[in-house]
Amino acid sequence: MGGFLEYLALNWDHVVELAIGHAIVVAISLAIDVVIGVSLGVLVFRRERVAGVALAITSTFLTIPSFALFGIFIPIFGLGYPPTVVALVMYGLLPILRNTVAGVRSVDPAVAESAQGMGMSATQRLLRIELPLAWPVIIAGVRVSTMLLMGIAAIAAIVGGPGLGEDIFSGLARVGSVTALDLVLGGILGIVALALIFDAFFNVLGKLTTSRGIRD
Amino acid sequence: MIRLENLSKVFPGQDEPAVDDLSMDIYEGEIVVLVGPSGCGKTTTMKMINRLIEPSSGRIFLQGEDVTRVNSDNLRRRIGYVIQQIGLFPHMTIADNIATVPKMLGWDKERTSGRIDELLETVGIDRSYRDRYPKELSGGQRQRIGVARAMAADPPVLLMDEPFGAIDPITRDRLQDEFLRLQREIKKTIVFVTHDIDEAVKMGDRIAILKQQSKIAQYDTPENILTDPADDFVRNFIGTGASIKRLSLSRISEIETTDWPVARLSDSHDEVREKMRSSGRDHVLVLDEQEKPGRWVGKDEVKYDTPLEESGRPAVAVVEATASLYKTLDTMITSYKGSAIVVDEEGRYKGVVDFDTVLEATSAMHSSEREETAQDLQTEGGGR
Repeated sequence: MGGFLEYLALNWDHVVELAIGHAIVVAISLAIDVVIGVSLGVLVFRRERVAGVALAITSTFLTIPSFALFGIFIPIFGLGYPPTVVALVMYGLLPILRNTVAGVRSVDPAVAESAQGMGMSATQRLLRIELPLAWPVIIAGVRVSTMLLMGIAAIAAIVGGPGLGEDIFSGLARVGSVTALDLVLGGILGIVALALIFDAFFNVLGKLTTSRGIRD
Repeated sequence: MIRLENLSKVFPGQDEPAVDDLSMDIYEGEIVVLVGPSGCGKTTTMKMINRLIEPSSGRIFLQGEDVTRVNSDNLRRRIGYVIQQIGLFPHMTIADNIATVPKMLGWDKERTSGRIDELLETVGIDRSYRDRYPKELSGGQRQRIGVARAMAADPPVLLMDEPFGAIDPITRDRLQDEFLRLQREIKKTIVFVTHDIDEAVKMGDRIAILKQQSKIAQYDTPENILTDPADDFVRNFIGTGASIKRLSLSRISEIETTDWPVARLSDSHDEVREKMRSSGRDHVLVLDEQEKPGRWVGKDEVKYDTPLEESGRPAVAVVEATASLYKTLDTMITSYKGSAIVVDEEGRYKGVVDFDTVLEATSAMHSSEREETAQDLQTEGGGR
């Protein structure tokens, strides 16, 4: 273990640089996922069948092996950020979409009815009542997506994507050599650390942006 | 104020209409209760007034204006709406909940804030509750906020769908009383839906008893419905005890009290005996210095060795003049001589009522209403 710490000390800047790349690509993909997932959820939640189709499609995305998906995207999107972000967006959609639909549907019908009875338009109801009430559930979905994307983003290294996957793959390529284990271990621990930081961030964000009236 | 004209509703996929060709007028400032068995279409009828349910045919008039086709969101901002589950917005403070409609109508902050304070006072909730959330309130308090929210922009009309339905009986009774008191000040036009005939009798200026498909079985004052049900459906719906329910609508102040000999604590025993003799009663009521009923003293209880304040029995069966005959009767049954003492708000003696008085009053009530109905029928018949 002493060897690993020594490795970290020597390669700290390099690991941090990869970690930053990893965090950025995950953050970008998550942001796009929130926009698409929440809007899609809002559009479909009232229509049982359409919602079913949307959820089925996004579930299917998750079943595609990531290694293969990244590979297919090379001829379409080339290397680097574009294929990475597209693939990550696809993988992170389901939890956010599903939680948006579930969250908005879980709004007490009496609350929705009284809002309508007071003359709120459909848009006002959505923005002032339904989304704020569904927000804690949506944030929970974002947290699940974060965990998912952190791991999958490592695979992006095969399409030249940014992130800690680079060290993991180069470590795996030279198994048996002295630094192989250190490289892989550095990548994994970096990803775990990033995941914890992101999760803590969303936890705090969720608390700050949820009304005191619906916090436990 | 509100006129429903040939209103019908057929829900998609159903053969039978939920509401079939309903016409009714609701006058300004009155509480009209729609009451009927579950599934009779009373809630559907109410929700067609603010068009939460769009009518299949027929027309709705509000303050003389045909609102059947106007923008429904704008219409709803002119009509207060209270439902059984109240539906306060849990993520908003009490103040924000109340401010919902004023904000949509574009009121400025100062006016809205002033209105919130005013409403909280009206419904008897302390201003310190402004920044609290619904979950911090009791059921009764939430119900009051629900009413305040519905009245926020001072709409002329309130729709209330079993507003006291989910509240325990004691609180419900208090809230009903409070609401009736409030209504005497605000004089809104109110459409009130309930399945409980007792609540209908208590709250309604007029009651519409609805059969299936919102067909009106009888639309009249509670007094007339209880004394003169239109048909067997109404009779069954009122259930047993119509006469007793009728008593809850009359106050003692409306009937003659019996003359009863009274004495003062300062009177001598001889004077007391003389009063009994001249009135032909075997009891006198002794009043204290403030004219409050003190004791019942009987013929055999006036003895020289006992002062008046210790003779006889304490006078306990006391009711205020504003009490209903129902309450008075209840008091009488548990009293010593089968009579109740009537006092004013300050507790000063006003008179005595006994069973015979109440019986006379009720039979008079029945016969006078029967006569009125007979006259109505005659005039109607003569007009044709």
